[in-house]
Amino acid sequence: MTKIELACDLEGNFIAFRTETLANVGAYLSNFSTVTPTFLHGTLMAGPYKVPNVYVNVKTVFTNTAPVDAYRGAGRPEATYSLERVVDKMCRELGLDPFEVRRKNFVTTDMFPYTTPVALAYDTGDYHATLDKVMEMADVAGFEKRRAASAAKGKLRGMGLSTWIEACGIAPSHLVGILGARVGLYDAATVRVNATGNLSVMVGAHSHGQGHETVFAQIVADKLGIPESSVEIVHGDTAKIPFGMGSYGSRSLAVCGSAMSKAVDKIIAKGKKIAAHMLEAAEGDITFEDGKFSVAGTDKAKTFGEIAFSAYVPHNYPLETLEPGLEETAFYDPANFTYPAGAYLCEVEVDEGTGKVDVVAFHCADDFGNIMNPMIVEGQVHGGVGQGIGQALCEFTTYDENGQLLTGSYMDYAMPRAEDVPFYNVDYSCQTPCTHNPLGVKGCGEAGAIGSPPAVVNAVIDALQRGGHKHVTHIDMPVSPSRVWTAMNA
Amino acid sequence: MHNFDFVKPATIADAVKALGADGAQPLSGGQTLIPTMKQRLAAPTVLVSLTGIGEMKGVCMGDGGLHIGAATSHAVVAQEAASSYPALAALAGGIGDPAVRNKGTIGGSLANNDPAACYPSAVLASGATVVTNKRKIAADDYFQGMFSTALAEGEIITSVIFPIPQKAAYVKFNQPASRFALTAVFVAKYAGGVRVAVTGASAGGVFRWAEAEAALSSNFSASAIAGLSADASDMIGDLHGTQAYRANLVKVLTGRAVTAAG
Amino acid sequence: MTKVTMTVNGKSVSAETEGRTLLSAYLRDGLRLTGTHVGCDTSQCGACVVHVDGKPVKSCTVFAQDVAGADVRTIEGMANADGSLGVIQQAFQDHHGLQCGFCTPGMVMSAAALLAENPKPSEHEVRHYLDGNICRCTGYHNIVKAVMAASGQDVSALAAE
Repeated sequence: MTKIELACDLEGNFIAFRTETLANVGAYLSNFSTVTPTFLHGTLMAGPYKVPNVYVNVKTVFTNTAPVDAYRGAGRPEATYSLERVVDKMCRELGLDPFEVRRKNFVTTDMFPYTTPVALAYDTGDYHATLDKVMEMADVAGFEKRRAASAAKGKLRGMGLSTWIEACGIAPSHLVGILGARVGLYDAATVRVNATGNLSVMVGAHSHGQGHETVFAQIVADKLGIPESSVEIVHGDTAKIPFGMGSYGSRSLAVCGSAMSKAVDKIIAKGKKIAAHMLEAAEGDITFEDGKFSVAGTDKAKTFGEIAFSAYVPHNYPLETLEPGLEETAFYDPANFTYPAGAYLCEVEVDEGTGKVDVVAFHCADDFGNIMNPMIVEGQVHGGVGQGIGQALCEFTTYDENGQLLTGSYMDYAMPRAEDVPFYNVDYSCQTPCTHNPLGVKGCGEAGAIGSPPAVVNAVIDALQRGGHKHVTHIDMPVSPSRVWTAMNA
Repeated sequence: MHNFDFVKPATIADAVKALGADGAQPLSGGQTLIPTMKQRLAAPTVLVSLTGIGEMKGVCMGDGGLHIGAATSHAVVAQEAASSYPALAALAGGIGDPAVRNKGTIGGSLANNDPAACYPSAVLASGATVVTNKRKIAADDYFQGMFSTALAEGEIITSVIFPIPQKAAYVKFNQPASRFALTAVFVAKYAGGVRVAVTGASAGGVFRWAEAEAALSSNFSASAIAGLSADASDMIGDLHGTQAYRANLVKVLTGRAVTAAG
Repeated sequence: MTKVTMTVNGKSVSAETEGRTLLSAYLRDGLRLTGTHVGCDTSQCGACVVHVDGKPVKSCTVFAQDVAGADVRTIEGMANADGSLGVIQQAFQDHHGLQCGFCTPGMVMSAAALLAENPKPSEHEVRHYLDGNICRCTGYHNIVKAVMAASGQDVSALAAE
């Protein structure tokens, strides 16, 4: 339960956000139960805004209910929800345009690196760009025409905005150490080149559908100028992989991918040493490009395959300075969190008779920094937004007064189905590469679930307000048909 | 689930005999009974499948209206009743999902009488006749409360006869998790009057909304019920909807069903 | 124990069953065909959908003894004879219609049943038909796209990427 207060001037410039939260963590401690509502929520309570004052007070409360742990977004959806709902409410009360209010309060591109009042140092971003982009994607100017068409069908129509930021690529060990963590959150990769020139890459992250086997292989293959089919990604077997910290917190690419990139750099560095020896040149004269090690300014070169083979059958290496074999391990400990951000616009139709809400459009303009594999990024945003729509409209874990779980199966826990969501309109062309990891990536796994719930709820409130239900300023999630109808008829 | 012996008779007579055994229960589509047995809320020692009985399957016009064999799946009803009784076919086509519709049966639905099931509202609104291996039961006598029917121990529904109405429509508002009816209304207009049967709303199961029937019998249009309201105190209130909300749905869906009926 | 025989993916198969043996267990444990997944307790999620006599059913809510002698098709039977992916499977791969893959067998089997009865479904018809198949990973976007692509329809204009 959160109470959030926003102080601003009459032009809508933010002065302060004050948040008081009571977080139910269930009956027992678990891995992230107390981290989620405190560090992963409190530190995001400035949002993408240059608000000068932020106060957050979180009490975690043990109750006789199931223990909680990190769920997609882990604290950042809560932060975004509180911020974007109170900003939306403020715009309505003061009669201000929600897009203009965001614009005037956004951190601007000349302010980076920007340290917020709640301790995070945003490295880079362009929040105006994603807002402009989503407005273009959503044809905001055409909304009134669409609203009239919905009205002709007997439905209310509303539009809801959410401008979000999050901290992921978890986590810089020195930062979380200051916050009390006793474990570092680096990750690791071992790249083993075989004599045949194909590679096994052992990674500490684990893929359960996010496509690491595809995108990690793609990155390695790109860096080495070899076919992707030559790269095997090995994960999930602790007997085979270096010790890693796993997949969560949108970190696999940013942290493990960076470790892997460093390991490949070490492979290239050794490859240059081998090439120098084979080509009888100085190491400093060796360049590596498009899968070939060359002596600069000449056409003397060796392919990656020739180097790999040589590494395993050498007979004349200067063994003091050059060992056989071509296998390197690297660790990567992030210097900072990464800060993906974006702007979401949701349109809903509301049936006044039943209170049913239909999401008829959902537009996402996200800044994930460099994009490695567009199809995978889209898939992550699709799934995250679907999850957020579920949270906003129908998913609900609840107990009766005796602590009996009422939503213990899909008979009562309502998951969104294919019919409950539209195609999502997803864009990631606004890219401000992360300044502090080798790949320049920010992570995208949780973004959809972080930005979407307030976009949906803002859209519902907008629809009701436009429909004349001026007394409805908030409905708690899930915004079920019964709750919508009850709010309208209160 | 506890174990049991499974038998699949080919005739009604064999089924009745098999059901005479101690701890024997009938199994039709199984879409409700099997999940119930998984929870150990039912533990028959003998399960008598009824879906191997040819004489209990099929959709055809006959004396008194549309005859539907009790072991006929929802998918088959949705397909084969479409020309004779479109509103009934549409109801069948909206139960569960495609896979559930290939197994679930009208007999199973009626014998179970879940207070949020769809078929009870069609049967009650149509004034249909429930035909068992022993007798014929009028719809108004059949439904006796949540999960409770007029069926005696060991009595099997063999078919249901639906008189064909002049106009009819079924409007269902889904409980978002189970896709059962949070509230649903079947409106049917016959020469003798209009019947309005509501499911999903009352703890007593399907019921007829008498005031609406009277108003609609003299004026079959949504405006006829504009001044009416269903009694909220009789309604179910749960995490999916308050009593007042269900009462509201009864009214809204009845109006929409009347409009849809044409 | 009763021996139950049926045809699965074109081959006659038999396994010992109890009365309570579900078709899903018969396939997974009895025949080691673990492509059919069991996802929930309440016959909601659809990960277990297979075809019985050409119709999609939830194999976790059918007793094996009740379908003795039936013609059953599972996800393992959806590939081509030479082992290459079937049309629907290939479309799921091409359009990233799966992430963790848990719901995928049920999605493919439901999609196959849909396309058999409605060869060129609209977006709405696809979404409606998949009402009994729950997915968390994809938000359904690429699944719907894959099914429409598998039906031979042009999906390049679909609001998306």
